[in-house]
Amino acid sequence: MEMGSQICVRNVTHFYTNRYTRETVLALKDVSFEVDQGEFVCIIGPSGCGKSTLLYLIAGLMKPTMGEIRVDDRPVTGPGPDRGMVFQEFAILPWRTVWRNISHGLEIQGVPREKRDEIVRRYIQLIGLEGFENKYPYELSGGMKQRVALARTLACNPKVVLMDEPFAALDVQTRITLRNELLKLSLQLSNTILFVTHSVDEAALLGDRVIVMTKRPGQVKEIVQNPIPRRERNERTLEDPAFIRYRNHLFQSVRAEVQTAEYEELVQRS
Amino acid sequence: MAGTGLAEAVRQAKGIEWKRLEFLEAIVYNVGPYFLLLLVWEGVRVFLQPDPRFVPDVREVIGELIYILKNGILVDYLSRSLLRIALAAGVAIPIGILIGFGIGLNEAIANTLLPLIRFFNSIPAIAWLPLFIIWLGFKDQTIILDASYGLFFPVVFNTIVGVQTVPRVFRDAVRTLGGSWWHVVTDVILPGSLPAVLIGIRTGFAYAWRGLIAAEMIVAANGLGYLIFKAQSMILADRIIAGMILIGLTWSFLDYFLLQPLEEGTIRRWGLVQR
Amino acid sequence: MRGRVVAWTQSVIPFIGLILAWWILTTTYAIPRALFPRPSEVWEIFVQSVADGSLIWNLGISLARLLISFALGGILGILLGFGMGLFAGLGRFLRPLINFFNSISGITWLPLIMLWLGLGERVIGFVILNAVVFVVALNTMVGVQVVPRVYENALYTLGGTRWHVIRDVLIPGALPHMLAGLRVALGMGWRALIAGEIVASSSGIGYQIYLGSSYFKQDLVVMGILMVGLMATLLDRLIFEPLEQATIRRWGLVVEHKA
Ligand SMILES: Nc1ncnc2c1ncn2[C@@H]1O[C@H](COP(=O)(O)OP(=O)(O)OP(=O)(O)O)[C@@H](O)[C@H]1O
Ligand SMILES: [Mg+2]
Repeated sequence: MEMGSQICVRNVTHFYTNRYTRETVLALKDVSFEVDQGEFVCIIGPSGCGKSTLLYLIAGLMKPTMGEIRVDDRPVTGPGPDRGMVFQEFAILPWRTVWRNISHGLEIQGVPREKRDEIVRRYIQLIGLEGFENKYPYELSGGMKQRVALARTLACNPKVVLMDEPFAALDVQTRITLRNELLKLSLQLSNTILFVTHSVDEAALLGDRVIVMTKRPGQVKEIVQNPIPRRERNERTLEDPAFIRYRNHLFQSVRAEVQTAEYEELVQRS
Repeated sequence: MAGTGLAEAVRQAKGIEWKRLEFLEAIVYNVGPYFLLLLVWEGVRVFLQPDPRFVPDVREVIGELIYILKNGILVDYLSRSLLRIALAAGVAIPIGILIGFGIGLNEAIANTLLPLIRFFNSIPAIAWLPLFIIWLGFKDQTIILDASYGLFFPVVFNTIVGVQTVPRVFRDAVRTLGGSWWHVVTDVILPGSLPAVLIGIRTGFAYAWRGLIAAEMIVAANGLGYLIFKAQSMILADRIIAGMILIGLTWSFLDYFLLQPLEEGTIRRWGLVQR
Repeated sequence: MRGRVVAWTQSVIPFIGLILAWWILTTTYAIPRALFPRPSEVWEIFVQSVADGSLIWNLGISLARLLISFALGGILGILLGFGMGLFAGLGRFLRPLINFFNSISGITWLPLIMLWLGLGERVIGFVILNAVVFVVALNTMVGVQVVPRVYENALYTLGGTRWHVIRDVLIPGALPHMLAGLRVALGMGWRALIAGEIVASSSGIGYQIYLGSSYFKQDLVVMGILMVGLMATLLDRLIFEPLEQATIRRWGLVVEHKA
């Protein structure tokens, strides 16, 4: 194995089995890729191609049917604080305040009170949640909720941050704001980030590399390197010719998959 | 109006007009219903002229209430009924929650216990009463067991629903934070199922209270159920009605001061109840 | 299909276990005969009372009482609940009364009604009806109140009248709560019936249980209890399951939880 690669996914195949009908759905087929320490990698692909499945497998919330996943050269056997996850549905607990939500992971790991408060305060500042510390989730907007979820995950300082369409439930404006914030934030972080999205723009702007997946059963179609280094990316990058070419390439690649998926569905129905 | 903005005008109008209106409304809606009830009651008495032994007038009922308060029956019987329901709650709620958790969390437990619990739920507590009497005699234990039986099932079923409807993603989230199974139970499942558990407790209390009154009629020599049942054989309609009012009021107090605040204190604060 | 068979066997096994435990405990005298009959004794008395017609007769009486009063009470409750849901002022005005009467519904009325009407059908009928009306009314009212406004507005923009809204939006929209209320009410009515028959009747399944216990005939008591549970389950299956299936489930208004 190559030195420095932190996540190593090898020939992973996964299918779901309906426990009553015994029908199976092949979600992932022979997926392999590696992600380096500190890299920001995006995954895009048509709906239902197994992106969430892949993240759940890396998080250790499920075991792959076949193949192997290693993080830091150790096989993944279950979920752990070294791999934090941010969910599309926010998943912050309604019965905890913003502060207590963010400190939750630290509480679980038994970090002493003072240390914990210090870390939480730092992330509240970093993520722009000042003034909301004692609010309950229902009092927050969607964007704020997702900020809390992100802060909660980052507070544990996991080696790997897995983000499953974290901005999908937000409106376009908030989405763009959070995207730009995340881009800036990522420059201050050393965590490895694996980011699933439907949005080609998001993937192109955020990812150092983008993994394009095929329609279901999901396979790695191609892995594309971003021509612009992360440090130099900002909103103006969107107008950079090299970036536009790169973005269009991704767009075409995903669209081809979506179209065949739709076509096949049509054929199946008729 | 000159010099004051629109907002100020609105505020002023609200301050004066609304206050008066709200006060009127409060009277109509809070006192009106009971006034109407008294009106109907007196109307029946005056116009239909029923046998006064069977339909007493309001003053007699109030007089009877004061009478049983003075001679100590009221306090004695009320406290006995309350003690019984408290004991029943002490038995049924912990067991119900525990079993509900077991079923909600573990499929093997669910498969073995759920069908049985469904079946026993379909047998009302009151049907068991004759058998409980044979087992335990005409004693307090019989009444408490009967009330517990009624309280138990709503708690179990609601706890199960509560456990099962905690969004899966919350469990996953805690596990990706490095939480163990135990963390998931204490930090996610317990608080997450609390609203449903509280609903179960509230529903269960309603069943248990009815069961208690019925059981007291048949089994006891004291308590509110006995009060009205005994009064019936002595043809004391005023005492029966006084007793019924007591039973209704006691329930309303229990619900309002004990069960509802429980809800407000936790789940409302978390915004889990929108209404 | 296969899943169904598996689920069915899984749910039968606990009952077999229970009966087995019952059988063992009673035949080894771990539970004294005086306290609990053996399964065989309950079966014998069951066969016997089916043969001499007493069981069918008593069950029939109880069922007839329940269904007549439940139907009446249900209709009254639905009308009352709709009135309260449609006219907010009325709802707000009557709600405390309904709540109060709900808290003393059913069996609590028994002594007073016995005083008024003596023993007999009218007493039992009243107690059941009383147990049913308020639950149904409260649930129906809530059902009407929670129907989303957009549906109502949508119908108005289609040129619908108030009547259309009631018929096409409020009645179907209130149905989930209404059915839930009726379901609870049937259970409440069934309880009131049994209690009423124990205290104030000389027929019906409740009376049979009571009679059994006063002669210390535990087999009769247990058989009666089992019949009560069976009837309640059957009623629920025969009335509410099809009703729900045909309406709110078809419309996707209930989310089913996996057991
Ligand atoms: N628990 C499950 N049981 C059976 N099939 C499942 C299960 N979870 C997912 N699938 C199926 O596996 C496939 C991949 O699902 P997954 O959620 O990973 O897709 P996705 O790429 O995240 O889709 P989306 O972009 O819509 O979120 C889908 O076809 C889905 O129907
Ligand atoms: Mg997904």
